[in-house]
Amino acid sequence: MELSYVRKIIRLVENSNVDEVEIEEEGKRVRVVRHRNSVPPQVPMAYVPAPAPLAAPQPPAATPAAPAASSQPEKQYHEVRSPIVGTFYRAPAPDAESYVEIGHSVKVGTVLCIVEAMKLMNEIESDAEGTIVKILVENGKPVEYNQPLFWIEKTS
Amino acid sequence: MFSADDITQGLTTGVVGSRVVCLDSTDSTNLRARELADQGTPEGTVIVADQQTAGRGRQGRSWRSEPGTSLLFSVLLRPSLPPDQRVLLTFAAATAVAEAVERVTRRPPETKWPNDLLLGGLKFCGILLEGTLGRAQTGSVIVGIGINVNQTSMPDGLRLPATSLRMVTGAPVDRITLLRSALGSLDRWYASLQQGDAGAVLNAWRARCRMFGRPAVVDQGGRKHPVTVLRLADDGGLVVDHGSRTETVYAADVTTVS
Repeated sequence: MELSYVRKIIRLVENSNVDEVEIEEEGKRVRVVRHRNSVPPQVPMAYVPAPAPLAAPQPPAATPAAPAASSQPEKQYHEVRSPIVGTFYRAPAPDAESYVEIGHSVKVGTVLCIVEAMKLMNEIESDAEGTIVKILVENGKPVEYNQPLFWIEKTS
Repeated sequence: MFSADDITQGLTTGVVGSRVVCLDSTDSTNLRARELADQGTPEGTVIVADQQTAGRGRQGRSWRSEPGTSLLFSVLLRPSLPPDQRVLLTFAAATAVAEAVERVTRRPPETKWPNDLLLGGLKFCGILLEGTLGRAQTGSVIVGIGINVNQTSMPDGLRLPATSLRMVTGAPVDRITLLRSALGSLDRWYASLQQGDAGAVLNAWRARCRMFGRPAVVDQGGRKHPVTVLRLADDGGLVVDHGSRTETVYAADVTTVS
């Protein structure tokens, strides 16, 4: 894992309301934790099922979020959800590279993943420009309709 | 060797076959279709190749072909369907190929959920659909079809036992006749879907399926469960009985056991 990559993650955490990010890639793992003064430890990044239906992208809060707000960190990110029921694949083939990783910049139209249903391999494109901050589903796992797949920190 | 004139002669389709591109050899007709789609080729464009050097199946599985023996083609569609209806294109494609094979060989193929076709219990056809869902959800879907037509034997070491139309019927089959027939059927079933009549497509698929009521194994990413296959749901999922509960599966390998 490149040092510049780790630096990028740290910057990402600094500039967000996220307190902790853990990334595992090819057997290497990095965990970045931010200790806020006087803020009790949270269990950040745990996915809280968002109320259906598909929420419009939430604009970043105008004022710094209160500590309590960090229990719902997804609010500040653009969420990409699955348009169909199927199986989530991060790469076009088992031995191929993933379409995107945490920290990658994406544009509108960048392919993020495949959701397979009835042998139709659907490439899911990003509908926002920004940086991938969280991949919410493991490769090869089933996904439900409207299930969040990615969080993107939008480029303002 | 194919010629576009031969293929389009007498073709009375509405959308499918609006343009026909013939190639001697290519890496994958689906990849070529994607390129042409990006260049704005009309909906219904068909790319047909005598040979594929890097034919692909689902999740990167390879698809073998020797020159002159297989029918390998891709059709570019731009369906105006919501995502949950687009997945039904799999059933339209499988049914279209089954009908074409039956017309040409007089042998009725069975459908196996969701996209496989069998003759005498053996696979002779691969179907790979690749689509794009993005911003406006109006992306394209490429229907890739590979049919074993005139092979006289199958290589060892295949993932599933396979056959060819010639091995089943004992006689060579004209690939252009088969292609024209398949394009005609696909055009009709695609029109049904586009007009909101998914039921007609699903019923035609159900009529060829021999899985219902039979014990089977559901393989979801390596996790295998014994089930009984119940029916095809209207959303294309396969309803299976686990004994204590039923489940509708959408992405799995389901193999019946005798």
